[in-house]
Amino acid sequence: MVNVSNQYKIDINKLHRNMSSMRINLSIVDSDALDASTVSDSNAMYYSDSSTINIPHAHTNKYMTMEHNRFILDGNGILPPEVGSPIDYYQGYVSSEMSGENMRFTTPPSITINFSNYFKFTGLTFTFDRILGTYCNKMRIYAYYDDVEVYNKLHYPTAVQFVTDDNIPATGFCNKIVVEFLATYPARRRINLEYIVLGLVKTFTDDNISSTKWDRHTDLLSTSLETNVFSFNILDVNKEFNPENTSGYWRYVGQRQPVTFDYGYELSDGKTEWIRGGTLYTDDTVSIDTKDTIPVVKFKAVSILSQLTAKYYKNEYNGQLHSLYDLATDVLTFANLSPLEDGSSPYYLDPVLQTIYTPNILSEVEINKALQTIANAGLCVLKVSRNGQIRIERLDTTLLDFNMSLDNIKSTPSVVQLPIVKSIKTKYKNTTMSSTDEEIASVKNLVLTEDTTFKINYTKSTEFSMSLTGTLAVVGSPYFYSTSVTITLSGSGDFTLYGHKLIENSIDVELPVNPVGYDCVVSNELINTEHDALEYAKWIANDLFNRNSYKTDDRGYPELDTTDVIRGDTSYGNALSVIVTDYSVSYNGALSGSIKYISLLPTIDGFKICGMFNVGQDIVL
Amino acid sequence: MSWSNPITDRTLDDVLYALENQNLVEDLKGAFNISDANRIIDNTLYLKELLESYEFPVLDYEPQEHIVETDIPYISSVIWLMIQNVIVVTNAYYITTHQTLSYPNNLNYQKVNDIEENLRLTYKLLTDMISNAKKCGTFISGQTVIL
Repeated sequence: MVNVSNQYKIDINKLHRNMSSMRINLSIVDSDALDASTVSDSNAMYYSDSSTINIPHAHTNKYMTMEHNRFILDGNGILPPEVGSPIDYYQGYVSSEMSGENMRFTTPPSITINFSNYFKFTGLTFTFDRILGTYCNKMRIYAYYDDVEVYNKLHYPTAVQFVTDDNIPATGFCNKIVVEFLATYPARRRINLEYIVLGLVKTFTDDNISSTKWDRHTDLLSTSLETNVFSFNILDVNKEFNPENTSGYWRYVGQRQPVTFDYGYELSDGKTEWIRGGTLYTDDTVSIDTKDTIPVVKFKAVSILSQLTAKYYKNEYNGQLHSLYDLATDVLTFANLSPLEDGSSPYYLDPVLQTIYTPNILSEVEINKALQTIANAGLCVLKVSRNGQIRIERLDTTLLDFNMSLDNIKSTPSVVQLPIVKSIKTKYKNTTMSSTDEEIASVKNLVLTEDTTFKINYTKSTEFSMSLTGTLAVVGSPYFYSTSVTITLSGSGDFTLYGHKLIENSIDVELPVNPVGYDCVVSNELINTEHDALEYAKWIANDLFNRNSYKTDDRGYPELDTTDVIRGDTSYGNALSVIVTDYSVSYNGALSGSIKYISLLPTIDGFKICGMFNVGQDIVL
Repeated sequence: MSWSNPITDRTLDDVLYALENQNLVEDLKGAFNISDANRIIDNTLYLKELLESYEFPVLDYEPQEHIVETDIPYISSVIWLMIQNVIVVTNAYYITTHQTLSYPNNLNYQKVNDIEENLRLTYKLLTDMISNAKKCGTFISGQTVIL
């Protein structure tokens, strides 16, 4: 749950609510251009790092300098390190040149962005020093196609964040952009550029937001990926997204465009309290509905987790134990995530994962499924926070200050009692290496006229060797992972890969729960000891013990999250401690919500509901 | 070398005002400008020379150049050196310091007030001492003198 003010807590529950509002930021960027770009600069300070300015993230730690009135004595600025000392906080691009009394540079500093391919941009968004509020107020932007100038224009920013929505270039494409900074506000300043977005950030407000819906579901056992989908409909008054508008944004709208959204609520004092919704990314389901006078553009954005669908193949068996923490770190490093907007890590891993070890390896699956498997083995929940951080952590059952009372819901909660579980049937897996060195993959009768790269999959194996016949040769040094290798070959002949297959022996474990009910069969390939299997089974059993599931529509509370533990009224009026598993917030000028939660049974040390018992407890009849 | 009155009464309001008005021509109290840094450097040097003129040894003082706007206030060679010199000079003369100075990673208005207050107190006590010293053969009004 997001922290909100006490006044908000009072006002949001008033009988007649005040006005709600929303704002949505949609970045229209060419993500391929980002991948193809390299940045260089002229006349930069020693703690400048232009190579990062094409990645949007905030620089919250500013080095102080002696420019006139810049060294504000609020204690937030950091004293710069000596030249040659480690730089703890890179600052984006900071010019060594300072502007004069007239705000102008004698020798204008500049940055150059080279692309390894040709692109056309809907515009550029510059973000200067957001903390001290200084910016460049005159710049010239050039674009080049193979060193031939195709765009040249002066721009006059008037704020820290500046958006130019020129098509760059107007016609054709470019593969180099040069930005020359000519003046600053205030005077006597260096250029402090935090980052550039290779595109636009469009902000939608209540003037053009038609409706939105934010759906979330979290699987408390991490047996499936979370749902985190934000659908929003925009009134396209200026037909900017019309596919027939040659100057429009239609061609740029596609996958992986960052979307951030906030909910606003007017408090009694007239001020609006804003609550960050989420940081998500568009998928490929953009559509435009033109049947009405004002077309409606429909977007859908999903969490970063949903988009991590590349296969994780860097699994290696070596017989050694590795912690789930290290395994998760390897997978997340492979995912190559960018830092969050505030500069923090794109992921958080519960330290408890450092205490669970296994020699078993992951199968070659999508990154998000690999993370789900690790979370499940670690008895953790996998979800994405509002600021876009992937988190694997144990469920926090601290009761939060929120009551979904009968006054806050639109109808009495419907109750579903989940089936009784008789037993949890799981298993643990021992992995050993076969003593036989055998053929595990081969590619026969190759006739290659040029270097050709193959990705060869095989069953889990280790200790590899290969044989090549004819003129077939390996180019470079391929690395053999336990389930695949990417290898470049040339020539003609047969390629055969040998290795020792991994033998995975499964041993069944059963945890009795109730004398009647159904047998829940569940397992995880990373669990390799009886102790861990039993702990896993108890964790599953404890969750399945929460056998009452409640569902209702409510007044809409954008501060609520899935996995929040709150008080929930039932049809009997009694307030139970419950965990939110599903929450949906809709907005069409007013807020509304739909919630699903399950009752939180106390642990062994807590009170018991009559007739219930704890797993393994002896009962005296 | 002459003494300049230190600024020791910066407030949070000064800082907030400076944050919103960086474009003003005058040096704002809530910001640390070269005028502030150079005043501290000059006052420290003034006190050092004054102490030495009265035979107080000032050990471990390192000369520091004036700072210009294009300079970088490096943490060790500029700011900590400045603070170190203030400590060295105030310790050369036995006083109770207003606030113990330390070597921070950042500066806020309170820390700069403390630096300048240390200098101000040292100056006051030293000049009071000097003005109260009697030369041989002189007397104070109303004093009984045995000729």
